[in-house]
Amino acid sequence: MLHRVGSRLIISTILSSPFFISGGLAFLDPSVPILLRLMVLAVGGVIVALGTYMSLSGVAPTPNLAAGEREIIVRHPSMKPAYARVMLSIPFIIATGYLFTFTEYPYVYPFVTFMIGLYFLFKGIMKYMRNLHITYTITDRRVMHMYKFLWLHTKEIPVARLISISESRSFFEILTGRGTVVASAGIGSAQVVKIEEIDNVTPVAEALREMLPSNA
Amino acid sequence: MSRFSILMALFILSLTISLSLTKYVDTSLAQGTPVSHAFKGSIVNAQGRPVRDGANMKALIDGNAVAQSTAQGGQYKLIVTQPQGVSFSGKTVTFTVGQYKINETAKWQPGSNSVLNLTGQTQQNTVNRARGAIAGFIDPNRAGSQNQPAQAHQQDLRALEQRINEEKNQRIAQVRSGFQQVIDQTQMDADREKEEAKLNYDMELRNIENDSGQNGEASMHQQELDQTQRQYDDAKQRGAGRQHLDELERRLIRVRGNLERARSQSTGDKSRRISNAKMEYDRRVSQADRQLREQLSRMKQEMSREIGNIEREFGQQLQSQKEEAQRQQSDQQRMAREEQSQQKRMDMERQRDEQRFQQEEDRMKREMEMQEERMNREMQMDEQRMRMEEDRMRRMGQGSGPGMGPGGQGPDGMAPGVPMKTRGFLMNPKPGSQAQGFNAAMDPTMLAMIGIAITVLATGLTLFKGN
Repeated sequence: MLHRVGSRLIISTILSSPFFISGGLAFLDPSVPILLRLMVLAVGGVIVALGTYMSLSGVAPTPNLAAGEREIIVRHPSMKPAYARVMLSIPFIIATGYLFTFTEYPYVYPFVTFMIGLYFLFKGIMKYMRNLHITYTITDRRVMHMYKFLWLHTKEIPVARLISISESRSFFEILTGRGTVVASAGIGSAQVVKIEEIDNVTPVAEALREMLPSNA
Repeated sequence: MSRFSILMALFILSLTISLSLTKYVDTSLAQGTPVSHAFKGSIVNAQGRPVRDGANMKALIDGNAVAQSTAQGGQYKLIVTQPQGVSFSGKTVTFTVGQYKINETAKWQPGSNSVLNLTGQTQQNTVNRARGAIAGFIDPNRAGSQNQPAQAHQQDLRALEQRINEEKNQRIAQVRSGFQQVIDQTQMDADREKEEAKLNYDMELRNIENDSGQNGEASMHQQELDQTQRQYDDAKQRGAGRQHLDELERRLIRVRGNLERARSQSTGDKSRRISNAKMEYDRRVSQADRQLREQLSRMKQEMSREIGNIEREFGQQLQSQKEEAQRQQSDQQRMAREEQSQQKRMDMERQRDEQRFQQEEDRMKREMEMQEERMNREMQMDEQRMRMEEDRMRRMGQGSGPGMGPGGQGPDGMAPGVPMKTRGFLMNPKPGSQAQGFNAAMDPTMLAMIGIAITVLATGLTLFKGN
């Protein structure tokens, strides 16, 4: 428990450190507007706050099973796709610094690379925080997706109504060897449960396929 | 109709079509293809250069043209087709291009396709040397003076005309000489014929004279008259009877009559023979004269025709040479004009390049001057800012306030020194000018805040979404 909380705090600190460092350096340079300095530091502070909150209170939800209901598989999303997003943002941040500092190109060029890099960075951070609070549960009656951050959100479909099971992989899932299982009970997002960014996808998909209603 | 009958009908139909197709194929094969021999390949002149496009090519068998075409791009193609009733098998095919013969020959074979590369011969006579010199066919080096002035070209034309005229006169003189010999011979033959007729005539006259002197009948009558006269004289001397004398006188009278008749007949024959000989003589003389006149007239006509042909041939050659020379000259003039225009274009391009280079040089010089001016200005501003910073630090060290005057001005009333923006958002301002509008509004601070706000909002919302 202590190790888990400590590791989350360290990760949050690492992720927020660029903002604290750049904000601190901005305070040493009087030419940087005060608004920007505060904004950078605020972002770093939010990241640390969220990390602290999740480290202390962020716990993956567990479902309540009905009488006689048997739990088959419980999975949490892997963190490697989130790390991959953060790592991918680094070259863009470096390119932004180079274009801004060592060239005379118009600002649109470093701005584009800055936006791309920052998007990947925040996307990775948010994905990391979100994945800490997601639980996928498969019982002999339901397929459930549970997310509890500030409030709890669950989505479940009965296995008796499953009509298709499919597997997919996004770019970052391919990079990190993870995958997604899509269990569908009908048309529309409310009828679909995506078990995203989990490792070892095949057993989950096979377990769901075995529970598909027979046509015979 | 049952399936079997339909099947049988289709089978019979297909069999009929097959048989008709087979018959058609046999018929078409029996007709055979036209009997011909195709030749193709390259065609070059004696110097190994491809002949000009459009050169007229002919294939000849036994001196008769049997096919013709034109050369294109140094290549030719001739198809020698054997006409009905004539056999070309094994005969030698010769070729010509324009006025020139070709070294190579070939044997005509039915249905063959031969690749035969041809090489032209040079005809070493004055006309063709001149033609080759002008057309560059024989000696391209001599004809290579493409920049020859028009005056020299005219001189060449005159020299060519003179040479052709000399050769034409020589040929005409040869023809005249040949015809004169024939005329002289004909004249001699006519004279000989007339002399022979004269000799025959004289001989005939002598024969007539001899024949007239040896008239047998008159002699016989004369001898009979003499004998009868002697008998009468004897009888009269002997005093023969009157009856006997009368008989002798009657005989004398009869013999004298016979003699006179014979003599008159002989004189008529002589005159008639003389007249006949004279007529024969006159006839032969007149015939010889008439033949001489006719032959002379015919020879003069032939000579005139021959001379006319020679003049026409040389006139055509001269005309063609002149046309060729004019064409060559026009080509040279065209090439000269093209060269001049090319030279002019190159000069204009060089001038444009020089102007562009000069403009580029001026622009770079202006940019360097502006860069130097901007650096000087920045250095002055840095010095001013450092001086202001030092003043501020000094005042802070002395425990005084910020020391900035109202309106953000420094203690010396100078502007705080707004740095000149050298970069815009979408495009950089021109050297020496300031970014304006949207480019000036989007400074790095604004862009950083916009970027952070957008990305944080876009990604942070996922934390609060259920799925």
